[in-house]
Amino acid sequence: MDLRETEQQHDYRMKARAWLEVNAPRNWELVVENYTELAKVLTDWECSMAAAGYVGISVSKEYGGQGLTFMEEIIFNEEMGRAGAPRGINNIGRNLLVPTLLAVASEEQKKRYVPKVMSAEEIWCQGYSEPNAGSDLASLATKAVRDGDEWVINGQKVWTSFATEAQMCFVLARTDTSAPKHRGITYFLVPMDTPGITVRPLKQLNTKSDFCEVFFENVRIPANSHVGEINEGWKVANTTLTFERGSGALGRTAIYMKAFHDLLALTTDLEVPATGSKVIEDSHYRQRLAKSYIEFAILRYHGLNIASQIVNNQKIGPEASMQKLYYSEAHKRFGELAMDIEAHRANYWFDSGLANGKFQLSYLESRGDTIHSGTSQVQKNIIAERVLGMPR
Amino acid sequence: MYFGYSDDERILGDAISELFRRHAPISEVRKVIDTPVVSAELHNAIGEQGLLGVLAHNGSVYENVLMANAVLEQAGRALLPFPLIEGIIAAYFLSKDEAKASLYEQTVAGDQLVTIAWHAHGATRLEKTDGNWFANGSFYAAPFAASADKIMAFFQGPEPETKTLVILDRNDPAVSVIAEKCMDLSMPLDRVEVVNLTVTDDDILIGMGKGEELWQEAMQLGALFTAAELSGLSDEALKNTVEYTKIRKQFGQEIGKFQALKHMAAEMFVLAESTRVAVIYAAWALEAGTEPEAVSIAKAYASDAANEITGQAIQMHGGIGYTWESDLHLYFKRARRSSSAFGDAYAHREKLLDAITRSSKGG
Repeated sequence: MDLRETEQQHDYRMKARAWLEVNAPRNWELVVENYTELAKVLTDWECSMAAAGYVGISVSKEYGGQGLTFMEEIIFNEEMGRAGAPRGINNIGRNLLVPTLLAVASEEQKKRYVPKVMSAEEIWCQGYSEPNAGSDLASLATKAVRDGDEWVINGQKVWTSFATEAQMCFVLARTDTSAPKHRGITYFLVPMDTPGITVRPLKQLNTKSDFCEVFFENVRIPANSHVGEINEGWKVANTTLTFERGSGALGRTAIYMKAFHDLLALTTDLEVPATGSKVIEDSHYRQRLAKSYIEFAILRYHGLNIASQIVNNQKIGPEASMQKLYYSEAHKRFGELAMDIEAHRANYWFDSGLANGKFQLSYLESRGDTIHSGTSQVQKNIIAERVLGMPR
Repeated sequence: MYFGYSDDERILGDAISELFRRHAPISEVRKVIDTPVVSAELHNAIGEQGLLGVLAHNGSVYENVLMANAVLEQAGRALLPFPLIEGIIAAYFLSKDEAKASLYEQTVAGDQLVTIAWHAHGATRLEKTDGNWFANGSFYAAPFAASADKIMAFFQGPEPETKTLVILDRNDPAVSVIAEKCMDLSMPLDRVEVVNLTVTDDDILIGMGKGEELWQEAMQLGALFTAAELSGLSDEALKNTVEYTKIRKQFGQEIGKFQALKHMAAEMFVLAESTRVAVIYAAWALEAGTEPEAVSIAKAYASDAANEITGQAIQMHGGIGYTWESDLHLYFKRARRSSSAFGDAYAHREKLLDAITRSSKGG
């Protein structure tokens, strides 16, 4: 076991911390209702991270990255969380597209697309989910048909974050309707200004409208727009997940730990309606606060465990599913705790609420965490069948 | 950067697993239920491997905490009917006291069985009368005290300078060991009564008045090691349960095919795996001399998780899980006992929150 930071890593952390203190957007929670303004804040933020060399930290210089290691990537993620900084607008491009391209794309594709993510010139969105393909993603119906030198795409995607802002979309589309459902899908790169694409923002329960619907009507893209082999898109999509899970958990822990301390700060003043004592002196809430802290601390250990597997080139198994299930359920409990602690104040948010309504946002968004990227129930099936080997 | 057991630690864990499988299979555990004594064969095997000497120190720095952890995880899996945590902590303390070198050697070699009485009942006192020290006190929660040669006990008063760890000789007429009826029969916890026992320097560990500090250390080590046992125990209960769902058939199919059971098993896996990383992290933190609250995190989580996992293991087995013949109740009962030992989840959460609020006030 070796978890001590090297001197260089520590220096990197301190430099990142100082940079974030000056540059991270503040009070951005207050603009989430205003889609245009939120998109602008996140786009500016993406550009300033890119300009300062905090995008593609572990991506090689050849493709416009910083050429550092996965450790620096983790450190910056942690510091972002600690600073309360939002994820930039190109989170999808950085964390899902780039690792996929680096793993399976042609050299030409890597050279063409990766540098523009690094420089924040091209924002990406993800065309995976469909109205009738959520948990059962592999049953997706968006079709791509070959016509001469082109593919013609027809269908509809949903939950496509910031599709209005994106220049590019990676799309899973069915290319062989006769094959078993996992074997007839191809992974395509599609410019969003291609004729036939319509985007409609979709308002979510947290008041944000970043999830969009994207309609494809006879959208024609060049024949070489696919990544990996034709009909191998399911495999391509799955190569992506490891990286996100590795760096994600530690960044997420830092976000949650900051939220925990922000909540703790409220507990010295707020009273428990039932007893009239301060929240921090109330045994029931002390226990629940400690439980949340413990869950977040253990999330960090899970993150270190997976990071260690990545750094030491060990194989990451489907156990990684566990981490998604773990953090999303822990986040949900934390949101509920915060609302219980705020009691009658819980109903007020944004500038009418405590802490700019950030706990309301956390509470509401946690309901999405247990749904996106595979619901908790899907994760449990994966764990039971692929980790524990229970029969299908 | 590396998270997890080293190769050496893993190899030791595997070897110990094999050792316990040979000398303490579940049939041996069941023998202890009928006759609550330490098996001489098991004690010898542990002595031959020098297992009780696993935890070491270099000045004030712990060594081999992760090694000890790897051993205790296996003890948890085996529901080991042996005072292993007590033996390791006792040997560790003895190793810090030069005057106890011979008892240390005998303990590690398996020639002497040493246990610890963990709880005091009422006042425990060390007092001087006519130039001699006399100890009086009533203790409980002393695992396998009836089989032990020596019992370590903490006398808390009456003065701060008499707070002392005393090594009791079980055969001394002033020391009596009384069996209690325990729910967890595989780890009998005896009562120890000490009446006007004459205490000499030879009986005192490290020094008169040093007891408080040692006791705090014993509690911290005990909490970590118990969490390690709970980690192994939980994982074993889960594994056995999952295997059962693959063979047991109802409604014409293996019950493991039912999503209701899959989801229960997946939730248990999350608890078991989270316990595992929490325990290993806490062991590392103790060895690295950092984040002392990591032990509370591990013990609080492991305690709740083990009760939940072993309880659900019974549920997933259905009727057979409720029988005496099934081993599940042994896991379930051991989990309950261990979860309440060395600070239960409630106590460790309180301790943790106290540490967090103090450190956030301090900056």
